[in-house]
Amino acid sequence: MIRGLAGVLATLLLLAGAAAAVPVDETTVHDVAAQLRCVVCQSLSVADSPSETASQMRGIIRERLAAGESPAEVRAYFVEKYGEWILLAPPKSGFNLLVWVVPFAGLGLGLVLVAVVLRRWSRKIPPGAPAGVDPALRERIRREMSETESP
Amino acid sequence: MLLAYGFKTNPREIPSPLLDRPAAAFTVTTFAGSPLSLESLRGKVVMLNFWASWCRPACYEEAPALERTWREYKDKGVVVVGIDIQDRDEAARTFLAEFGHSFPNAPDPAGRIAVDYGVYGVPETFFIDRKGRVRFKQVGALTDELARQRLDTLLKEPS
Amino acid sequence: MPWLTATAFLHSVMIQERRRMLKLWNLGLIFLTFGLTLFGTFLTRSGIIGSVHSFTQGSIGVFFLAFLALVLLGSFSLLASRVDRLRAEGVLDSVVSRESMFLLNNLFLVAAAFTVFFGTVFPLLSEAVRGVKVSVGAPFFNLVNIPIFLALLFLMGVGPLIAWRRASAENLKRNFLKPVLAGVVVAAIMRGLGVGNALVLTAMALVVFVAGTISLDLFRAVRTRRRNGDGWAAATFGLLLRQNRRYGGFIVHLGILVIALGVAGSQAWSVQTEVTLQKGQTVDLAGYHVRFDGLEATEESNHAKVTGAFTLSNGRRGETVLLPGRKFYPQEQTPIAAVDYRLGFLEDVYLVLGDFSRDGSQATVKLQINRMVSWLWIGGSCSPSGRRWPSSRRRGDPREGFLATLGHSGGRGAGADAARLWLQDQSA
Repeated sequence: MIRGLAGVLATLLLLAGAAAAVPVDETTVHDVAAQLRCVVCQSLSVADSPSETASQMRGIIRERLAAGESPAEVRAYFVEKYGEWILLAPPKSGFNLLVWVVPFAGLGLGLVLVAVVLRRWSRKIPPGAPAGVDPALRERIRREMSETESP
Repeated sequence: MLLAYGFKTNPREIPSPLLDRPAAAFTVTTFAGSPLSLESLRGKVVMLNFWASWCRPACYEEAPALERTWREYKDKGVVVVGIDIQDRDEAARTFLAEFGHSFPNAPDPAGRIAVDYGVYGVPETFFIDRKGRVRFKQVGALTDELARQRLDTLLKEPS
Repeated sequence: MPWLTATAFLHSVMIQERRRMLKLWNLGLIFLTFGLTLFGTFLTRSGIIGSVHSFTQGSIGVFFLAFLALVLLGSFSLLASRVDRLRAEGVLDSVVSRESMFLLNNLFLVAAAFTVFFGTVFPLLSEAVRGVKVSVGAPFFNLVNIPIFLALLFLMGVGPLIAWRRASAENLKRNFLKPVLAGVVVAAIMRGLGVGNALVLTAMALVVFVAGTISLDLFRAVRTRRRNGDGWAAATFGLLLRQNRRYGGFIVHLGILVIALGVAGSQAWSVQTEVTLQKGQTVDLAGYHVRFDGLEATEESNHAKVTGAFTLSNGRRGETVLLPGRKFYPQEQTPIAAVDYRLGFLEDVYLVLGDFSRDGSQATVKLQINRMVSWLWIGGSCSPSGRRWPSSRRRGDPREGFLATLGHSGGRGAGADAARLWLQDQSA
């Protein structure tokens, strides 16, 4: 299905006079566009935005992919023109590593905390050590409880 | 504390990464039908203005200032170039006729030049020095004083 | 964010109720929840962060920040001054128990809230420290939050059935073996059917697992009541109406499962394409056949509109004409798209009109087929019904009485011991 569509696209491009060196998969265009921020909308990706600017940007993405550029190169081009801001998720380098690492570090810390709390609860001495209970009493309770309500 | 810092910044103001870098080359066909390339303007100071006929009121406000600046500086080694984005041919020509622009204007149908200059919206004006580097970016309507200021600065520099 | 911390509270308060523990934590969560609602309002109203929701840049931000600071400082200092009255009273025997499941639940929910918080605030941090603006959007939140929510799904299955205080191997096997197997089997089937994404497969397996534990619990409880003489209907409804808190909770969980399926399905199976069509030309996607029929320009009261007519057909449901358009307002800089769509139980089809030629002979259209999105709404609507699940009896849970005994006796005495033992047996 996707390959068929790429074929349609390639044909259209040829008809339009542009020689498509590489058949472009619409899914790839969508994937790259989904990582770029639409410059005229608030927080929408270029893939989702219905604006003209986004549509033109998708066209440029398609062109560059067709010319043989890799998705990473297309992304780098946009970063060169608009700055890091254009990427919807900060690149995993330098200061930006912080945003990727902190949530997971926080989670790890939390797990450690949970373990500590659980251990502390286990070590607590109960308020009164349970005395030996008469088995008859236990049986009576069980019988009476099953007579009234089931869990 | 951090949130208080946020009051000082404007989330919509994003600095251009293109400053002090070579301006992206382009070749266009003006509305008058003649070809124009940025390369051919090397050695002159270029004021590159992005506009659109649907851009109200800012583009309409600055248009007379653009024409005035052009007339004042065209013999001093400055070229004003207008790029029309996301527009219809008819509407664009009406706009040009209304303001009597005598400097070259060309459409950018696929938005390639706009993206090459990291344009967010219109109007935006780029000041390119004699060596072909982008030196200043003005977002929003341009005024005579601002244009004069920038151009005078760049004209003082050698080519 | 406040929704996540409030949900955490909803669950951990059950520990406080049963075991008299986590009092400090619960109060902290409540304060945090309120603080986060203020924070959210502050974010959208102060204009310091541009987002899909923010829409004003007035001076109200300063007041909000001050109020937020006041509330947080005040509530937490109050908490600090009362620490001695809020000591925990319970004991734990094993890490494998319902208490620890609830703790983990809290951990993950709070972690998710923190992730959202940090991601939202990070652009500001980056600008303050580096002077460089960055964006933190969907790709980040998806990557970090999806594993957290998968973990929560897992806990949703384990929590309600695992024993309090200490779960024996017997208890674990009895309650979880079949649902786990069911989950694994379904994941294998889905893999065979072509679903490649590991996260989607995990989500599906977990959904089946949780559904399995819920059904198992319900089935066993109904079966026990039937042994006491009730018919199937009476047993089921009697149960649902009497243990209303437990089963109301299950309904909400089932709603979450449906939402999880909706999210997983739409990730795995949604497709889209963008193509320029000549008049009369067609494009095919996922069994849908779309033909461009032409454009029409109209003048409305305050805008001009260009509408494209597209005939959508997919064999089974016949033909529909969709009319996506573009509205040109004189005051707006760019035209506003008017999307047209056809919604369905399993699939939603969206058409967005892009660029077009003046003479109407050509138009660019974006075709999007979103799968399983209706399930998000269906699952979401389960939530209110679960929360207001009616009760037929005023007396409530019999355990309430036992807890009262424990409380009154101060945890000592034969009566308290007997009560404690019964409670222990209950959950075995």
